[in-house]
Amino acid sequence: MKRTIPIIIAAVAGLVMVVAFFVPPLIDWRETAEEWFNILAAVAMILGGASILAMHLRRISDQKRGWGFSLVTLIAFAITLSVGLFKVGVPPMAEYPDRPWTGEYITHGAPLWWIFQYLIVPITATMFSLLAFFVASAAFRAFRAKNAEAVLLLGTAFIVLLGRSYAGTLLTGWVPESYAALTLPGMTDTIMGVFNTAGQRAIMIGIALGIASTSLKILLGIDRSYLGNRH
Amino acid sequence: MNRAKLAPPLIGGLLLVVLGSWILVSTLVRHRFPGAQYRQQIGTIDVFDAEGVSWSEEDQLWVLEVDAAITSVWDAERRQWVLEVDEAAIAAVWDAERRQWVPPQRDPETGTLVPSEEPAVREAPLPDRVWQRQRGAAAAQAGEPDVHFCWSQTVGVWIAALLTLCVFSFLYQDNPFYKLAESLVVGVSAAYLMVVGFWTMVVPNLIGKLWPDFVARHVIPEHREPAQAIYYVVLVLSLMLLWRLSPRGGWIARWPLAFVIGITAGFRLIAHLEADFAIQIQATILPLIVRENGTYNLWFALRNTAIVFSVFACLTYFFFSIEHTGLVGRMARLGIGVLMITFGAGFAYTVMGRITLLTQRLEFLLGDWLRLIG
Repeated sequence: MKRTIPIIIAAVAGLVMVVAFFVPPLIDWRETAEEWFNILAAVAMILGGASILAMHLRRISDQKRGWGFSLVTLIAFAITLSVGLFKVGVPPMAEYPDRPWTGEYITHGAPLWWIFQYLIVPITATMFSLLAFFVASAAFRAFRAKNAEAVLLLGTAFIVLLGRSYAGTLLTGWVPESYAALTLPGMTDTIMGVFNTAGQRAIMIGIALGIASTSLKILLGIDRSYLGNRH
Repeated sequence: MNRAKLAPPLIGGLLLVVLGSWILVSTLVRHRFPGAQYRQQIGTIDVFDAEGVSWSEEDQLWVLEVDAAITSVWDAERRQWVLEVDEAAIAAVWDAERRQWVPPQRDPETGTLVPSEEPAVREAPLPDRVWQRQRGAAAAQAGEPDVHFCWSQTVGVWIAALLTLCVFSFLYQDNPFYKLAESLVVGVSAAYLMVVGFWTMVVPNLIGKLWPDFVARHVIPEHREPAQAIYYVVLVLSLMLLWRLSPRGGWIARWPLAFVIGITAGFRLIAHLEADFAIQIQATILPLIVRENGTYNLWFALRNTAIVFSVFACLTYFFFSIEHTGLVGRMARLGIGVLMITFGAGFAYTVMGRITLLTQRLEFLLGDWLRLIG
């Protein structure tokens, strides 16, 4: 019961999705199953939240090094969850002012909007922008033209970076129109349209085959890793 | 203390002095300071809790009744309760523009109830809550009617700017400021995702399917779906999923987990075979000899040949069932070359994307915050 029923559930749910692709009357089943999946995925976020809570509470109670940062995480988590779930500062819809919960949960100017706009967006965007420095630094150290493959990678990156910016047009703007394919933007177009397209296609075909085989292993009950260990 | 240790606090202090001076000069000279945000009021939403005052959805008005008789009628078509107001009992309607109760009149064109031009009705309740409807205003609009300085957003811009600098401080080395920003974003993002999941998925698709009247009456007035008892299964599966938090009986959570895994596997099996396998192969079956308007197009022929050959070479490299020697080995080597070109292009696009993000952050710091540009 602990292992067999989950395997049967996974197989039946998956096969319904597969069959629904081929039997149009079953398309409603597929849509319903997708909706159930989305609901369960949303509920699963509670598990994620609980996991964060448990981990940081343990760090605080053990007074581990840096426990103050765990406290910051917990306070931020609690405040955001409270203002979001209770729609703090969210006005009702103008058409239904007698129903206080009708407003959009992320109404412009509400505390949750403020948190998104002034905490989440700047921190995440800046964290991703930091990669510009680290990628440049890593490229400087790693991209040595040691062999033909490295030369291809380095050369392509160089051409595409120049070709997709104004520098490319500026550097090769003097090339006659009839030889446009030899300009940096022209070469970039060829690289993107021919070699990059071909490489991406091969990678996508490989990924599709990989996903198909993994999915089949799950549906047939061969892969049971999602059930965890027996104990 | 050696000079190397003194340098960071000295530079930080110097930057603070420069920033403080800039704020002072900007405030004195331009009557505006960096990061100041303004809002324009475009209306209000008044809310009455007083007895005898009810909201007329048909006329979009608050109405004041003489005998406070409000009747709720079930609208079977819209599947929600509707407040019906006896017109004879209406003493006054709330004029949101003049902000007073006035006798009602019928609009001859639309047939709806509207405030009349007659004198205000005295001794009527005032709104219990007034929500201001606002929109953003540029700093240049400061001083215009209905444009006000906005404290909350000004503080927001300052916090966002300081957090941006905290994250950038990681370029020097890992430090408490970066860790503070990191801890903050972990907590806030996790809770934000939970809130989004609750309001966009759980409320309309689970609670809305089980108790549609409740959702229509309190949360989503446009919700028009009948109750579906089958969704109790999802409710039970959700509760089973949460059982994982219990110290005992963790296996119960495997059932909903198996459902999620099965759905994902079934959906992806066909979706990826269709979109990433069949369609990509179909797109690669290209004519190697291209004729346009009766003439041969050598460029397109070469282009198509290169695409077909390159895809074939890459797939040969991915094919590990045959040893990569001889002709297969040479094809695989060519495949590696094509993949290197692909990775090079991908690397270039990643760098450009990150640099775009970096320029956006610098634009925010220098424009929205310090107002040095834009």
